[in-house]
Amino acid sequence: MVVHLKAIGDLRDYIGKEPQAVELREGATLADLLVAIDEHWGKVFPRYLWDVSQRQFRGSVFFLINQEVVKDMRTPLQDGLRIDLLKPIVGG
Amino acid sequence: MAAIKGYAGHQLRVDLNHWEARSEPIPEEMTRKYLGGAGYGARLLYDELPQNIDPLGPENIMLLATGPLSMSQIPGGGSLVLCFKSPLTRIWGESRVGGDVGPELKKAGFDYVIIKGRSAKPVYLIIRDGQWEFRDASHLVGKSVSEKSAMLRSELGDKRLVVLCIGQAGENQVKIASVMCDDRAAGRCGGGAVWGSKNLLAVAIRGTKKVEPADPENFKKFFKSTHDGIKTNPLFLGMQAGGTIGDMPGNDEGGDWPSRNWAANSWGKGTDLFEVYKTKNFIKGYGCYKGCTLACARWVKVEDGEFKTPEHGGAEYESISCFTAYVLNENMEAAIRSTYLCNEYGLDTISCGAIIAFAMECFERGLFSKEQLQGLDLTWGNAAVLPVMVTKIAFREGLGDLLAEGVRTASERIGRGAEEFAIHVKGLEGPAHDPRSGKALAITYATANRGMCHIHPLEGMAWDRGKVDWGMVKYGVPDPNEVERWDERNKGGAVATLQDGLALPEVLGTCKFYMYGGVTVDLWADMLSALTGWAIDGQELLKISERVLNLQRLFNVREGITAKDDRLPERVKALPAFGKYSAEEECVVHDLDAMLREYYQKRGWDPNTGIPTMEKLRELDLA
Repeated sequence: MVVHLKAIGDLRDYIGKEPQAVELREGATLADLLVAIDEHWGKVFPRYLWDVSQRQFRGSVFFLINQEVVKDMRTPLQDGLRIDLLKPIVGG
Repeated sequence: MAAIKGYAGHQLRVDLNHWEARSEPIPEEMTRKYLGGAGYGARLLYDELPQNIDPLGPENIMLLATGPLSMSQIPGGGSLVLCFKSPLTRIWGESRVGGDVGPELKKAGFDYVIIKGRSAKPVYLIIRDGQWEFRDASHLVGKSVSEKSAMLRSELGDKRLVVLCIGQAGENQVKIASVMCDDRAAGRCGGGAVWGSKNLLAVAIRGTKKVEPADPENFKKFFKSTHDGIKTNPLFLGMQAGGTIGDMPGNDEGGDWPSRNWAANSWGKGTDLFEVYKTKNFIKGYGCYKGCTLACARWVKVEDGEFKTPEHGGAEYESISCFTAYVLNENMEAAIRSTYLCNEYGLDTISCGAIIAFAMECFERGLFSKEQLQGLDLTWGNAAVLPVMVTKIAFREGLGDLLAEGVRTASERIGRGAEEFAIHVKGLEGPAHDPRSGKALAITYATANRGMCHIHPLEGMAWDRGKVDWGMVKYGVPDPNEVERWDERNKGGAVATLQDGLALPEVLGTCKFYMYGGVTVDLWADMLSALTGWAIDGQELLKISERVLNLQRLFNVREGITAKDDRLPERVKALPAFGKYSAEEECVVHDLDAMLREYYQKRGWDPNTGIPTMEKLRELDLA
């Protein structure tokens, strides 16, 4: 199946402005998407965003599905789903 | 006259000359037109302050202003705004403090405290449930903020007393002195010096009254649903997780981290510094007022060593950035220690770090004499000298006496080209955001009524770089996702509208960070309507905000401000001297004048003078 990953804010500098199609196995979860992100962009992200040794985002980068923050990495994904990826700038 | 619902209904007029005060009802018509906070302050100061007064003279007004939404159950309601003529900039002065002081003042029966005059000896004021009392404060002289606060709670026998006070810097009339509520600061513009000039050392507040909403059911519904709605907002969660300092690594990477006195907009050390802080200094996040669910404040410490510092609330993004990247300091613990001292002495962390950075550049260029330096080593990155300089500035010792005047005055006195690298707008030192990360900030800095401020009223770069829209797209602001951060076209008008929206927390008496978390102009309007019984919508709120910003501008015009002052230091616009963006021509601010022309046009201001036109003033019911 294919999901569409859309970067918001700073992450656009590395993933691009347009949604990126990511191919995953049927029945994939958010954890599988993270593995795919590592394969595609793990080497592109700067150190403040991506922990190379842990193969995951550092700090507060959020997955949003239907504009809701989803933290459970076991969340199942469906074909055609749009997933937003956001590193918020919080001000101050 | 019946009190306006949602307001305490009274203001306290204080005459420090005679240790007298009187309570009077707040004027209803003025309340509907200006709401409160910096809005009420704009009207009051414009009407009651004569032109060209000495900001440190007895005639200056120090207004403590809540807003209608300064209530602990309201999202962001822990807020108080101080309005005064700034001794640092000599124009409109405005500074907001979090904590419980705003809600407590309202519970004590007052929406505003209007302070004039000068006490012959040190004094503090107690406000309790509609009553007030003046007391000799001689025993508080020379004490730090935490010492004063503890002494007052002890001698008045009330641990829950909310204390607003100055530290030694305010007593010494340092022009960048803050007014503190425990570890929360009304930092900018030198309000602490105004308190010092009046011999006012503290205001202690305790209240048990309730403020009645016009529509209790709806009011409860709105604030509960708003709390529920924002707690899953990613920006809200982001702020909760990282605090303001959580932005430091990303801002460095994104070119939004002024470094080496603004020679560059990135340094490349942000991630490492943040990792040190996270593993060695961070203890926990907390809310600065009762009822805050955002909890962006950070509890931190330095366990041991040269910069050992007790547990305290601090390590804010701006503060730490001004004591790291600004001065090329790679020692996080020195930065934490220095900002802690700023808060204890009652000094604005932003201006203080900025002034030390300026001093380091003066040192590099050989502009200080041996007599001035008295052995100080102001080499870039010298961590050990930072807390030393904070202390010297707070106590006006040696070189600190000159720097206590702020970078504008200090640079004018030093001369020999120092003005070229004194980074300020209208006399206010710059904070830790860089317009070379997003051009909206260039307009914000040039036009903000209190000077080079990133957040009163607007964090421009959060829109064009960070893609935050604060729900303002429906009011005509371009969707930030369709806007390029370095594009300079069509930003002037957007900034004007955004300023109107983002000034609302200062007028309503709330915390701006809740707007990042999803509280929109429309939600503020709904809550205000339920609280007051007024039928007020987002459009009307924006009109009020526009009126307030124009009136503040008129205050500044009366003090001599024109379009020529809406400027940016050349260095802030130029190609960065080092770092990730040093070859990135696009980040340069190419044509500020063109952006300002758009801004003036949208504002309805004269394109040559920058003064609001009569037509605009009539539209806003200001003429």
